[in-house]
Amino acid sequence: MQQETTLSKVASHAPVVAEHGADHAEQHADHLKMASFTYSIENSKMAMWLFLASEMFLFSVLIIAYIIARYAHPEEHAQLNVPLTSINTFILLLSSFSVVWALSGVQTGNQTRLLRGLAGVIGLGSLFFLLMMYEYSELSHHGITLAHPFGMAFYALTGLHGAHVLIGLVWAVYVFNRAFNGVYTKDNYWGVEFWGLYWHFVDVVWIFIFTVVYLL
Amino acid sequence: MADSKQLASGAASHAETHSAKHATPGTYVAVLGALAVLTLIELTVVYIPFLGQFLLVAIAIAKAWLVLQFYMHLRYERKILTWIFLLPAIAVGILTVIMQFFV
Repeated sequence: MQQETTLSKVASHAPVVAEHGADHAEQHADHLKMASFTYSIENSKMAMWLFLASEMFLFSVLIIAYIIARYAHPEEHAQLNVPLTSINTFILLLSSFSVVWALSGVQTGNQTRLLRGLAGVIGLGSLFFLLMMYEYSELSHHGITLAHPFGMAFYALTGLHGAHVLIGLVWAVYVFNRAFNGVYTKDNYWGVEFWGLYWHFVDVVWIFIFTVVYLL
Repeated sequence: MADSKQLASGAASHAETHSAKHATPGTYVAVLGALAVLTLIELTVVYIPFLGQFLLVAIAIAKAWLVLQFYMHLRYERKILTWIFLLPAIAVGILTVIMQFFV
């Protein structure tokens, strides 16, 4: 009789135990998915940093080529417009601030700050690019063209940087469009962060270009 | 449904942990101020002969370090990311210094 009671008690608990087991399995699967999501983000971030490190070698080769050309042609170096590029330096530094402002906005769920920050980067980046084009036209009137050894080294380095700015701007417009459509939230802002890393790298490269090309 | 809810909440907690480690807007403003001041210093030390060149390079490294540490969040990331960027940078720096002797 006692055995029968115990068996019926066990039988009545069986569905509860089974349900609990299913819940536990579901939670376990969720943890695995979460771990996979985190790994995916971390791997993408590492890939981005490896890409930026490889970009550094590309720019450093051109910086070294420029140093050689600069010492061989000091009179052409004297014609570079330092005041104009100083303004451009401040513009690019401000654009980097605008990136982190946008990122901190999305991280706190402030969509307005995100959109304003992104619009700021697009505006400042475009202004940087336009001033660079103005500088190029000014220099070409002074005879510094691609045909000149100094001009070749100068335009290769600053032109590659300008191309990176342009790519960053196109990417920024894409990020802005997605932000405008509400894709980014405080739980999902990796698209903004990865583009931001690229933009900051362009800024870091400019810091060295400004010093080596214009000031030294 | 429960899957997506839990995944979203998991992602949210991950994002919170991540953003909690990031710099505050106040830090971003302070870094911008430091970058602007360092750039102004650069424009003045450019007139100092010989020593000015070393100062310019040192200031450029300091400015790049500020951007990397605070704006690119290397300060708050795993150390491996710093080394991924730093080792090639050191290699490039050595290469550039060696090249100076052949100019």
